[in-house]
Order: sequence, then C-alpha cells, then structure tokens
Amino acid sequence: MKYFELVNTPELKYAPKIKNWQTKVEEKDIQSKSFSQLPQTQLWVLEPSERIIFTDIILFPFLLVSPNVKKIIEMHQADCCYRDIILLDEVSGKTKLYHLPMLYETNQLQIISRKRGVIEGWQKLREENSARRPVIKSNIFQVRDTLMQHTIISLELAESLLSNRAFGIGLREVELIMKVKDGPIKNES
Amino acid sequence: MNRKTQMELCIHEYRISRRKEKSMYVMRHYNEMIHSFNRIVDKLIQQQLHLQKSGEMDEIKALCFLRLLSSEYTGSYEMAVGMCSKRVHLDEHMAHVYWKPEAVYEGIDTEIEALGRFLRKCFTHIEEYEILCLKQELLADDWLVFGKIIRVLAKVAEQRIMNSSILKGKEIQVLFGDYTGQLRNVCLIGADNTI
Repeated sequence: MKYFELVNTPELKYAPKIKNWQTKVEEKDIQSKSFSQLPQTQLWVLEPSERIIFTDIILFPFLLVSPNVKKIIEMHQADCCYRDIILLDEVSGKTKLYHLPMLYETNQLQIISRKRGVIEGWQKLREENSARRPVIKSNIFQVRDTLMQHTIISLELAESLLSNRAFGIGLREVELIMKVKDGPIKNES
Repeated sequence: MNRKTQMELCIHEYRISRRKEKSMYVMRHYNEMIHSFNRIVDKLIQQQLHLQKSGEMDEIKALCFLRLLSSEYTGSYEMAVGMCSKRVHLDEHMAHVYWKPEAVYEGIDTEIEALGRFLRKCFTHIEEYEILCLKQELLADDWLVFGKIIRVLAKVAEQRIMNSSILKGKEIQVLFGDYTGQLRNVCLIGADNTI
C-alpha cells in the first residue's frame, strides 16, 4: 500500500489564512484528551486578502477539512472526532464551515519521501525497507518528528479524495518505516 | 463562460492532435513497453503464487489495470496492475504492483511546461494551479491512449499467466478503470478466441 503526506500545492496559494491563529487552539489540544474540552463550534476570522479560495483542505496552522472531505474521510476512517470551525472573511462577509479533525498521532515512524519522478531507486528502497514496514490500519493519521507533524493518508483515501475532485490536495509519496530502537522492532497495529 | 471553460476550449484542438500523436508514438514504442510489462506480469505471478500458497488468495479471475490519480499528483505516473480472485476492486482479494508505462507518460512534464507557455499567450495572467487542472485533462487523455493497447497487453499477459502454475479460472476478465471507480470489462483471456 502506498502512503502520501499531505503537502503544500499551488492550489493552496489562495487558501484561507487564519487571523491570530496562535490564540485559537494549541497544537497539544488537538492531539490529547483535552480535545473533548474544545468547544463544539468556533468562529475564526480570516486575514484580509484580495482573493480567498475556500479549498477543501487547509494545512496551516492546523489541518482543516471541508464538509465534503470530512464525508470522504468518514467512509475510510470512522473513528475520528471533529470540531466545527466557521471561517469568516470579514471583507466579503462570507463564511464557510470547516472541520478540525483529531487524528491518531505517532512518533514511532520514520518518513522517507519520494522525489518526483523517481521509479527504480524508489522501488529498491521500498524492498530494502520491507522488513521495517509497519502494519498500518489507519487511512489517515499523523506522524510527528523532531521538526513537525506530518499528515499521512493511504492510497485508498487519496484516490477517493481525488476522484471526488477535492480541491487543494497536494501529495508527496512517502515510505513509512519503524524507527530503529535499542530493542527489537515492533510493528504497529 | 467561466475561465476554466475558456482554457479548456483554448486547448481543445491541441488535445485532439496530441492524442493522435501520442497514440502513434505509443504504437511505435510498443516493444519497449512490452519488455517492462513482462517484468510486471512475472512479478504479479510470483506475488500471486506466494499468496495462493499461504491460502490468502483463491484462483485468479481478473487482471486489472487501474488508473491512480494520486500518481499524477506526485509525478510518478504509475498505475496499479493487479490480479484478483473476485470482481471487486482493491480489497483483500487483490494483489497488485505499480507500473509506469514509459511510452505513455514520457515527456509529460515538458509538455505541461509547453502548455503553460502556450496558455500564457492567450491569457494575460494564469495561475499555476490552473495549469495543474489542465494537466489532469491531458493525463486523462493519456489514460485513454493507454486503454487502446490494453488488449495487446492482455495477449502478452495471457501467455505468461497460462504457462504459470498459479491457480486460475477457466477465463480471466481483463478490467480497466479508475482505482475507486467502476471497472470496464475489456476482454477475456484464457477462453478460446476471446481476444
């Protein structure tokens, strides 16, 4: 099974930018027990901009998904909690509903990214790492490394999103392998 | 008329001539493609043998060629070629390998750059994401070009599958379509005079 990281794309150039996002939600609240304490619905104001396109996915500062994308995710990943976020563009007065998902997060995996167009080298790399490939049952989850959090989706979910013409999807193929620790490698389920 | 429709109209003629040229190009480079396709079929057969030995797979009833929209976004241009024991897509009854038919997707990135230059002559300002949208249209054309040689590929696969020791049905359906979409039955292999 292929996996992809959600990444920036030219489609996100005019994606909504949230004003004072640092005061909205702390990253730890999205990943911990405190998620349940987040209000069910929040109104977030957008940075004024000449052009805003309400893309189906917003990557920064938190992953936000449109109702359409939420519906598709739910078909592949039923056990996901969401909070409703209403984005308000004060300039035009437009509002748009998004959903803030709480995804399973792990720091046990290492991400190797595939460079564009690489074929042979990539297949070799996949074969070499097959013993360290974990068993993954989630179709969407997050991997944390020392620098940042990466949102990973399965091939099935990626194909569903794209065939439903979700706008604002940037993908980078990744290979996920278990981090090598002192002890034996453990597979995740 | 919205901007996207205007752009699509602008490249309409270009797409028609491109499809024709691509079809001819693919036919000219057919032998190179067969060479890499043979490797893919052998790999699939090996995978299938392993799965059948472990009892995870029954006799195969279909050979599928599946378009991956995601590979068009990542630039790998791979499709999934799979064998399955039931006519269902992408579940536990299917084993697949990824394959890029070089002749079909060769030079696509250069073509997109040229398309961008062409569009910039018609439109004073064009966004990168708009070019990406049109790229999807060209890639959809390429998939149709590929579809035209499926029967030939099926013939190539037939010999290898029939000569292998994998468990197979009396006839194998050859299916073609999008990974998450409805698959079209192109032909049968294994049955007499079906290709």
